[in-house]
Amino acid sequence: MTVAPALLPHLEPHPQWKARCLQVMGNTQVKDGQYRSAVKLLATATRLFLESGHQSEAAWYRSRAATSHRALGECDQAEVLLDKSRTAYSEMGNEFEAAKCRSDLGNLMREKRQFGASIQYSSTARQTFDTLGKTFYAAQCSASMGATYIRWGKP
Amino acid sequence: MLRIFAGGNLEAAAIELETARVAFVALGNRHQIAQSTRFLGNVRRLQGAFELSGQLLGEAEALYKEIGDEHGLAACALAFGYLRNNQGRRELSIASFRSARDIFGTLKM
Repeated sequence: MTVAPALLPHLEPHPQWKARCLQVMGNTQVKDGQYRSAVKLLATATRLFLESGHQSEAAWYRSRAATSHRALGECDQAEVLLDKSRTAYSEMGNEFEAAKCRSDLGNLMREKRQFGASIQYSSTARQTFDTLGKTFYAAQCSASMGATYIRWGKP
Repeated sequence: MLRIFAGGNLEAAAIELETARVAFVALGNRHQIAQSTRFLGNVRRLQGAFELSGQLLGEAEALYKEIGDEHGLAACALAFGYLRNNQGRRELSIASFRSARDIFGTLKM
């Protein structure tokens, strides 16, 4: 973190390395609970990854930014980013990461009290995890659905 | 089964939590077993199955002790507080709530 900002000016001609530098700074901000600045850094990193053709890394850092938005209580922004990541992963054929996004979206929808959507996301994610033999992730989806059903219909 | 609280699809919740618990047992993930067992204990309480709820919460508590999860222990004490209150055991309920408060008080949150 102490070195990364000093490196930035030297990395201008290399967007993907500048993006990696920014993501290191963004991750540190997340660990420190500085979510607002983390969101900004990760958004810039994502843009640079996209511009330099690194779709997978862009999708990853978009989902990290979604976590920060969620921590800030900005569920709508988090939803938009997670949905973009999910779409990107699906297009890349990375069904495991796409399912992780769906799983996160399931938790997010529960927070937004959109219980039907929450169950749908979690259930679809669980099916994918089951197919891929990712038992732990599938079980987490079941637990998440349990939590959603408890709240569903409660005033 | 008596349903004492309105709202929440409790039987569907129980099915999912039991599915999760069985999977976590197969994986040997004690933290997640404890979590899903505690949640299931809460659901059974909400359904009015107090004895089963107490049994599940006891299992979760034992697991949290094994793995040294203080937050889990506090959450269990809280759940026992609600259970004993529902059972009309006020003294025990208050003792559980106090225990939960004391443990939560020692945690950095």
